[in-house]
Amino acid sequence: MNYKNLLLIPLLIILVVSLSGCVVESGTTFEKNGVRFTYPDDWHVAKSISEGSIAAICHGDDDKISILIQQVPSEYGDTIEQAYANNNQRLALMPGYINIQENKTTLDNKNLTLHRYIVSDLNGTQKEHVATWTKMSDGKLYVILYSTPVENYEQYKGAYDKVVSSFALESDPKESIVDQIKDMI
Amino acid sequence: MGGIKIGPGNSRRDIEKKLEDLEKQKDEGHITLEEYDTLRIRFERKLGNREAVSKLQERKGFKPSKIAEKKAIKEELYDDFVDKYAKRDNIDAQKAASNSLSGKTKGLLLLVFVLVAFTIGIAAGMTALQNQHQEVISNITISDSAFISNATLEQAKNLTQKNNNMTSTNTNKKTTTKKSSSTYKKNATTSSNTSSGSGSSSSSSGSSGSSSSSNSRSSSSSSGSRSSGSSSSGSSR
Repeated sequence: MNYKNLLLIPLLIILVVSLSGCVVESGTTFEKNGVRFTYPDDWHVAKSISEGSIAAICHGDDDKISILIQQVPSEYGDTIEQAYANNNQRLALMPGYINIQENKTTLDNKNLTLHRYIVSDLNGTQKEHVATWTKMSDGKLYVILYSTPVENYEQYKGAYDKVVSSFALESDPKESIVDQIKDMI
Repeated sequence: MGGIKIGPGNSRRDIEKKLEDLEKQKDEGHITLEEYDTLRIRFERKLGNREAVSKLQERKGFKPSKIAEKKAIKEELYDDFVDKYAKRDNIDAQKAASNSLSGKTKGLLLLVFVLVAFTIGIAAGMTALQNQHQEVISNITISDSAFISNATLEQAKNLTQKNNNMTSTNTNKKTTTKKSSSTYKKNATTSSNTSSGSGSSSSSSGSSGSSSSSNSRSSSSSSGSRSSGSSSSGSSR
């Protein structure tokens, strides 16, 4: 091996280390109750008493800014459309309900139904919510609910995006290194 | 030995002279026959008489078979020497060939090395980063929910009704203070009527008649903001 190749080795090591830092997602991984997702480091795992809740995180120690993962109860329906429509009927009766946006999209071969709305909570605070409805490979319906006071919506939306994009079932295979590099490219 | 010396610079004539002297010394018996033979071989060799040299050597005991043996040994040694060099040449040729081959494989090996290093680096980076961040569990309980249960709905309805009742009562109180003392009794009766029938009519009177008062209350009380929220949702839809 000549000197040129010898010089290449440290350069490659630097490149590898820097790339690995870029490839690997920063954040903490939640991996419990059959689901897995990544969330920012300044968010903490919280408890939830809500119906069908399987994971909950909040920003720091602020319970007003939260992301909740819920499994849709069977009485709402078997399809996303059915469950979504049933829930919206009830939601419309809630005080301070304002429908902002309803949208359908696809992310990593997952069909998502997004519903952005405002509802006043029991304390009277107007809270903005984004409910992301999706059907996972286990055939069950899940909702990822982002809740925040109206004025904080944009500030913490990045955390919600991170959770939605990384959301998977615990049984799903983890993204390989090759896939991560592909994503990065 | 005798007094005859053979120097390197002796001419043919000198050597012939010396040979004659040698013959004389032999005849006179000054030197032995063995000495004579040795010196004679030397002089004859110097003169280039090969045949005479070989005859003398044979007479002295040097057998041609021995000479042939020596020649054979010499040849063997020479062959070994040549073989060694030939082997070295072969090794060099093989090395040269392998160098040209390794030039091609070198690139492949480098590529494999890069890929392996990349994989190891990423795996190490991943594990290092994942180990750093540990789950922080707080004692906070989140009450938000994507689903609206019947209980939540009832609770919300009751709160709305309460708010509306409070709003209607406040509205009536304000109107009574504005009225004159002569009409106080009349107004008092109407306010009691409205509040008693709030279940059916308070929502309409509350939202339309007290929009300004409910807005002003939103900052001071939570119930006020809820009623204003409902009115705003109604208007937005």
